Amino acid sequence: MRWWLKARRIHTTLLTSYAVFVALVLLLQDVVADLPSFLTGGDNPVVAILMAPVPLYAALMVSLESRLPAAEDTGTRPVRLMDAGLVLTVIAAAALAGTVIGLSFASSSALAVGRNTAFLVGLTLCTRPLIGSPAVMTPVAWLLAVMLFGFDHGHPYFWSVLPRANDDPIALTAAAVSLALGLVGQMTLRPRAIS
Amino acid sequence: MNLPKQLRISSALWASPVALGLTLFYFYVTFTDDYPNSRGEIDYAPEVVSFALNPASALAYAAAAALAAWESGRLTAGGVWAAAPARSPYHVAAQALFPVLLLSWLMLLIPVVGGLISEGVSPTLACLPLLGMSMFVTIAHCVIGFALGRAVPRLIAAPALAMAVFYAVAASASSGETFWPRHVLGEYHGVLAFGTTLPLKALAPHMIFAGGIAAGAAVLLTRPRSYRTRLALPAVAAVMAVAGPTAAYAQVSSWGASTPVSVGHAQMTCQGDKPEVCVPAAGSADPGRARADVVAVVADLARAGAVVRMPTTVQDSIINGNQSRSSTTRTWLLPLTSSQRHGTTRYETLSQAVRYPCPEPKEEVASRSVKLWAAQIAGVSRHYMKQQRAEINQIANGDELLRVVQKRVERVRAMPAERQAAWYRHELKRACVAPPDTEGAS
Repeated sequence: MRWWLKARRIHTTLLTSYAVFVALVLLLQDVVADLPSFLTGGDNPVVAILMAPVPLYAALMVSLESRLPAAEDTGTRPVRLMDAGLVLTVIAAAALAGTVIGLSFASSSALAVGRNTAFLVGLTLCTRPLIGSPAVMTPVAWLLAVMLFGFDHGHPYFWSVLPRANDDPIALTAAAVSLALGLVGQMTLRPRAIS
Repeated sequence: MNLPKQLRISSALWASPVALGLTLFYFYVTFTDDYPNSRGEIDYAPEVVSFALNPASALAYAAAAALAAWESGRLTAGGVWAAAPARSPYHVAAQALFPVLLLSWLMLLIPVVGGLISEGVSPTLACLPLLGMSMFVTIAHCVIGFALGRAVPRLIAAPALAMAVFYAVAASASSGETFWPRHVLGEYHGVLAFGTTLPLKALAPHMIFAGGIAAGAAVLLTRPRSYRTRLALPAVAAVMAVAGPTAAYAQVSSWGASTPVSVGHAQMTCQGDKPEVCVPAAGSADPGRARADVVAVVADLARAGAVVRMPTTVQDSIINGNQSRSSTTRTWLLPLTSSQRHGTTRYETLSQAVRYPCPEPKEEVASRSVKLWAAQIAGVSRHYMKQQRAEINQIANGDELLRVVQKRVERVRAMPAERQAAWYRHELKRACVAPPDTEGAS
């Protein structure tokens, strides 16, 4: 267990990123800016907190990518199970931070941060078996798509997930499905070697 | 390493379908839907360039910073920095950054060149400053991304930089009451109207801001021999990275929402003397015809007894861009090119020929009455009424007001000429006196 914690750089990279993530949620919870829309030509209000999970999911990816192949491939330790546990722990920690901050500052945008982290982590894990470590850019593509195409005169489309209301069933389902698919992929498929 | 191989192994190649696809889509949408609504009366190449670069540069900067961080991480992972230094680190960095820079510049140039071609506007030298500034800031973002990619794992640096740079630059125009971000982050958020250019004073803050940070980042790449220099290096880098943005901030901190632009950059063709009438040559309007219309309106009004001083010069107001300069009694600014295209020069002249003795008339009925009277004298009352009906909808009981005005002018027009002239002079003064109560007198 201890070698796994160290090999995954959990005590350094992941904890630092978690601190950055919490700081971002605190700082960005009320930041809104008008971004250009590529569909209507007008501007759409986009909340900056959508980007708060970026350092956290990226650090999680760094963690999962820092492997010791020789020791892990022997199969004497349940490494994949531990990795899945790590993913779920990170998401739970993000949701906890979002809930605490959201409730104590009465900010509804911070409450959605757990769901959004789950969705983005799921997206990353879904594409990781296909393209390896560049999968870390998949959520960036999604975020850009949401910012540029995801709004119809200020209202987010159903597929955009991230800026939807907290109790939106489609967004919750999407986050759950993407995370489940990502975990299944991680448990069953061998990740591509670092390119 | 030769160029094809360099391009093949670069992350820029894998990013290019997304980056160029977005750019092409953006270009298609803006130039089919948006630009036709905001284009000026006269084709002007810098206007197209400023329009094309507005959100495109945010995407280009984000791509430059993120891909540079990725490439830098690739070099670190490949152990390039640990190897014995056979080449200068700048050479190594330049080779790795070249494909990234190429892609980011393409993301700027595709909308610009495409826009110029699809609008059929030939590029001029005046396009270059804005485009050059954007290309310079792209280089700076490449260097910043490269330095960050050495310090932070690339899997974190690349996505974080992509989102942070895109959001910061694209959102800099809507930063509420804080105006400085839009003047320093590398994107000009306005549209350069005809005859407008950005002076060096407006472009320099963008370049100093990003360039200062990039210079600091570049210093970190040196590998000094002596231990002391190596210790001083981070301090030097930090000073440079702080000095650039501070200098840029100091320059723009007092600016308001809009960037200072320099106006009046157009070649004019003029005709006549007293009044000398000037229109921009690019608009292909006829200054002779414009002059005839202006002179005729002034003569008509003078014949009817209204005192109008003939201006010494009449200039096309289009060259002032979006800045409104007000006319004086000697120099009139009229939208001559557009009015000649729509056949409304006589009507536009009226707005200057009828001069209230105050800057802004305060009494609705009197001010509109004298305008309508003058419009009838100049023979453009139909156009005036059309404009008034469009404008009056915004005022409460505007229709009633307009009917009162029409009835008054009808009554005055039935009077002998001298009485009309006296009424006109009296009414001009009355327009400047604020009404005693909001009901207004008829």
